[in-house]
Amino acid sequence: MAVIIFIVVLIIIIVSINSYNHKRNQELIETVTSLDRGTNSELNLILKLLKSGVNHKTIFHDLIIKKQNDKFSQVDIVLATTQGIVVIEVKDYSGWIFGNGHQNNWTQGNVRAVIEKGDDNEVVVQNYSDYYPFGMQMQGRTLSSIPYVFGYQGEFAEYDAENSLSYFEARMWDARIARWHMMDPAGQFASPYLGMGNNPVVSVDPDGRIVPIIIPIFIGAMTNAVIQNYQGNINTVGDLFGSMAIGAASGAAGYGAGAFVGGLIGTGSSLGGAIASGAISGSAGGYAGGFILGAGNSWSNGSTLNEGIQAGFSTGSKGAISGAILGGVFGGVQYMKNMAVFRKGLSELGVNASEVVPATDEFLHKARELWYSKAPMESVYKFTVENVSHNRLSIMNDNGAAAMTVPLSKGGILTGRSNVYFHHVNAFSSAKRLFHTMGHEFVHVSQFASLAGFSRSVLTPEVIDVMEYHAYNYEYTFLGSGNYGGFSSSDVLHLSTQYPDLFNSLNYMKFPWTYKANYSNPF
Amino acid sequence: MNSKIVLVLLLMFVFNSLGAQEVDINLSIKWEKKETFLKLDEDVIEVPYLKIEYKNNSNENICLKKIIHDNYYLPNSCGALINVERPVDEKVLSELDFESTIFFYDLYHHIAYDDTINENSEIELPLINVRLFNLYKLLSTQKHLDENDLGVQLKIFKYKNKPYVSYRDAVRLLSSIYNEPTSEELNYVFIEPYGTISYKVSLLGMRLTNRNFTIGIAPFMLIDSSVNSIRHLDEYYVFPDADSIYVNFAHLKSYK
Repeated sequence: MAVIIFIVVLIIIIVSINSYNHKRNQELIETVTSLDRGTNSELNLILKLLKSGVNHKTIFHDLIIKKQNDKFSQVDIVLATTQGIVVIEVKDYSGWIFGNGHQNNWTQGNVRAVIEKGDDNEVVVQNYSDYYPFGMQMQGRTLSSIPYVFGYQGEFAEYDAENSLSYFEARMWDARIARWHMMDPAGQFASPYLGMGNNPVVSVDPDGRIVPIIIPIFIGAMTNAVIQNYQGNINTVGDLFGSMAIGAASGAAGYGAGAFVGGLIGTGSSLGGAIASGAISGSAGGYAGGFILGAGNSWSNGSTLNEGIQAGFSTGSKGAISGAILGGVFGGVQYMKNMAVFRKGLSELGVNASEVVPATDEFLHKARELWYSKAPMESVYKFTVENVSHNRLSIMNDNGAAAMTVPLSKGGILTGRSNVYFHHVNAFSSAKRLFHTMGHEFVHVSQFASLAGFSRSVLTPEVIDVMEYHAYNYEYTFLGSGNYGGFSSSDVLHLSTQYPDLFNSLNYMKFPWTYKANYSNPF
Repeated sequence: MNSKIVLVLLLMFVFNSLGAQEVDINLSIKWEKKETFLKLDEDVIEVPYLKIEYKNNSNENICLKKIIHDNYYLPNSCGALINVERPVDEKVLSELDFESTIFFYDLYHHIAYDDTINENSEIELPLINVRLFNLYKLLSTQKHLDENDLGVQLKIFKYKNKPYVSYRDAVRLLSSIYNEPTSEELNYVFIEPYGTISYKVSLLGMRLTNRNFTIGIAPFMLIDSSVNSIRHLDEYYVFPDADSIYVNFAHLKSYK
């Protein structure tokens, strides 16, 4: 009883103090303006000015000014100082106001693109950019005729083009190596240089201190709810909340494991190293999240404990693979999208996934249009199974190869174009094999296209390994081929540190046709 | 022969006839008999070596870009990417019906051409480059395994008392211990006045293709146009003019 009385008295005291403070603040504001004028944000700002020592006689609120065209304009707050007049426009936005002398109006919030009206009333794009997951601008997909410092990182930081760093409140961020330049003052992760928990898809780091974990939990919850509903497993409100809880746990676990492993790997001494460590931490996160997702869904759908564990391991493995791309989320989405495209293509081609398909150019091209409509065909000169020379068949026979991509050169310089030859038996043994083979070869086509202008001598054994690693990684992760080319994580780390630039530029993630789902920063 | 090779030969002849050359680069083939270490029927294998001799005929310190960097095996540019569970291993020893019996090997670009190729148009490289690339990849990997006393062999070899290891595992082993030398000596040769320096490089890969090769390099490929001289061991070495370098061709006859 005494405890209850104590709590009640405490509440009364707190309410009284708040009430007194509120009344005092109102009196203070009324020395400048009426409480029924303007917005709460304006009144709060006036209160802040007064409390910071600004004389109430120098603050003018909610002024109406007559313009030259006899119309009126409203000004929120004007501050008279010895240095001049300060005009303050108060907005209840989280973001920034952006503009320059060429624009008629200011732009509010975070700007995705800036356009202007041209001389002939056409729309002229002045500023836009696409970004890699950790915030580095994509070359060739960025236009900045007007300097703009709030891009990928939004309102949280200013980008400094001189040193390519983003200045957050607590630290400087380097999007090229995906690491902070200073240690974490909050000490949140095993490595003090990790950003966004090493998982930019589901996390934000607003000021360089604490990464809130609520977002991955939310994403996990909503994603699993949608998937379970799509699969017909949600019939009651209880089912909905159950699936959300499983997804939330998956999101939290995936996030935590990914960040933990990312911390153990360290900071990454190069761009390639950073990419590799990101991939490995992502796979760890993907596995942990995938296990809980698979096991949880299995149990909730009535499976036994053992079946649930098996489903967990299965989904966990898939999660680890897809996680090697972007923390176990992006890869999974791409895989599902690609499988949908593959199945739709099978239907239109009138074949089954596991059956032998016709080894003709007609079938090859039709399948290509259905499965890889955005493939880089502009960089392909020959794409054939019917016109393969005896010598090429011999080479492919010797190795049991399904296809080969041959770069074209002129005067010893790679032109960026390639010929793609398919083996009439090995590549066409099943529709699925052809689907995987095509995807693998198209990665090589894009890689050779990106090497246009290089001497042929750039194609050393280790650079070939880099190219093969990315092609197998694409085939394995996005297409689910089960063939990883025998590369281990130590191989990846070795190649990425030995050839950081090429490891980065030959990555299949550099080629937009490889991902069918568009990712946009939702935060 | 294609027009580029003819042009290079002609230019070399013209430059050579203008007067005494500051640098002679003599390419020649030397054969050595070795106990067979590859999975071949022969007990003894004759291994051809390309001997590269740089002779400075001037009274100046001279430097040139190095023709070979490995000092043992030729590097080769990959002709194609083959979609196969890597690596190729013993398959590289099988006989293939290549496009030609005679090839020209460009030591600078590490590429084998034949007379079917017109370098002025957009081309594929002859398939022999794929074979050479894979052969030398395995040969040089085994060389590094032996140099580091790792006690294992790739499957195309038949050393006694060495267990087999896959190519990928071999690369993995070497990546942890093998550091590519990065000094300027890797990229240049430094020849004192009237001095001679020579290197040799194995042509075993070429010999295993059973084709004939004419091996050469254009003199201007040996000049670094970005610098006039290089400081080495507290002395300056200058690059000679391309037209004061004479290079002869070597001919490897391995076609049966």
